[in-house]
Amino acid sequence: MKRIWTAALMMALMLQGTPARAEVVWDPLPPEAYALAKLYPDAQRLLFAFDYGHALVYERLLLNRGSIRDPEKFEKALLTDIVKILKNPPNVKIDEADIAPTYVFTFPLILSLFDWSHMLHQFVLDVLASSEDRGVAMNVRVNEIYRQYKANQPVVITDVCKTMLFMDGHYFSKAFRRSYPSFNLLIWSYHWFQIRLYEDLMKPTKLERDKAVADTIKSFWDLISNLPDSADFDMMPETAIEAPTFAKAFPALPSAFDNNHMLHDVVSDILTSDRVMGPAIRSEGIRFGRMAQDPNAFRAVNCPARK
Amino acid sequence: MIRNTLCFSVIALLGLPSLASAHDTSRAKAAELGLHRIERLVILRKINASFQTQTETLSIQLLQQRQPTDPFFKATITQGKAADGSQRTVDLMMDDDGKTLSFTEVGGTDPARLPSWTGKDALSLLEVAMHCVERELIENNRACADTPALSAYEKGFTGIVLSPINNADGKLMGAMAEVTAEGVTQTLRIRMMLDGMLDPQMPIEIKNTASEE
Repeated sequence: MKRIWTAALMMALMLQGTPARAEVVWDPLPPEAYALAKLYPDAQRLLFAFDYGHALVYERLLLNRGSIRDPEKFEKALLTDIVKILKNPPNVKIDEADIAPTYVFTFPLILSLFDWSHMLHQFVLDVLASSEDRGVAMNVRVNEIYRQYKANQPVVITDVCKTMLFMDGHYFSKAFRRSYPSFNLLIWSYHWFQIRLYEDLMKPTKLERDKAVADTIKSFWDLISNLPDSADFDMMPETAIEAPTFAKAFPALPSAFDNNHMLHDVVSDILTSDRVMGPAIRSEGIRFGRMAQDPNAFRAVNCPARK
Repeated sequence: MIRNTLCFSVIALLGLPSLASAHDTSRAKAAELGLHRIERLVILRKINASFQTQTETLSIQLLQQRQPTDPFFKATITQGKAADGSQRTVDLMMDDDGKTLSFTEVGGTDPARLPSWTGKDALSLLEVAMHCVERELIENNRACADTPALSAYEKGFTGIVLSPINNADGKLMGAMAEVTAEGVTQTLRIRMMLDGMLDPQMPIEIKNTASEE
């Protein structure tokens, strides 16, 4: 009898504060949720705009697949639309189903992986932005948020470090950056911005954090001021390199974030490459979503995040 | 010959964001980053597009820095020699993180022996080979990661040469990358299939130059 009670108690402890179902629903929301929006509204609105931008580009690529005669013209039109959104970003997170229904239908697993992972990104930023304690208590909260994220295994992207060949080593790889180089660099600039925010919010004083976030926002606009030349990235920016303080404090998170970012590029390539036949897009989406979850697929031996 | 020079250091002078540095960049890592830069230059149409498919060699030199802002690595990327004696070449000047500061392109005509890669292109095959030199898993093949002798090639990397593997009928079967390193007398051979996977039969081999067949 004692054993049964012990097992029940352990089960209750395990479930406490963790999502109980394999759904993309974070319930209850962390008390810090969306604190970033209150403290750094410009940064938060840019993040909302990035989500909008990603969904929009995926939808347009899907809807226009096979009929894009002039990729440069297509890219220019898309960039014009996206820059408008970036300059007048939304105040709330946009539901992808509203603006990108075809994408939502085509990539069911990957959409769930992104949604769940974006919540992790958001809530970690919220904790870092708002924590009064800048030491142990803040770290404990970030790790609690991460534990809750990981508890929902069916939609978790692995935090095991993958090589860049996960992004670049497939039959369809690099199609997006070759066809739409400016847009690809815009997306890498999004990723850079998001990563730098983590580093900025690790600063010990509010004054330093305010300055760092303001500088990063300015740098983001510089990066996209004259695409493609203004964004001097040869490769996707990596969390451990761009946010070393953050990476040292939370060693599991950089790879989880980088794997998410690489998966975004994989989706862009699947949608752009004519080597992926139309009917295969959905199944490839599921296959590569599973690969993002699989700790052994493209596992890196030398991981910058673990150094 | 056309000599075409463009400086990316202008970007730093304009005060654009300085992207973070990793320091402790190995020669092999610098070479890999050089390949990524060549690909970017091709995509952005700043160098001849044929470098994507016809690149044959990459070599790395360490430079003497007079001041910290001077280049630290020089990467030279070449195509095969043309019948007219010309050879397309790009030199990259890089900082100690492997970030390209400037490049110089020397024009020429197509190589006399044109490579005809049918799966991955030349740059992508070289990139896979460099990941092997850096002792990474190639997809899930552990051959490079599990060979400690490769660390000498990563640290002392001096150059890599890509060549086709043909069968007795002359049919293209795969690719071989031969890697040399400072302080190592043997050559590292990396064999790949045309899709960029390692050859499962004999993915890597360390061969004495003196015992060449």
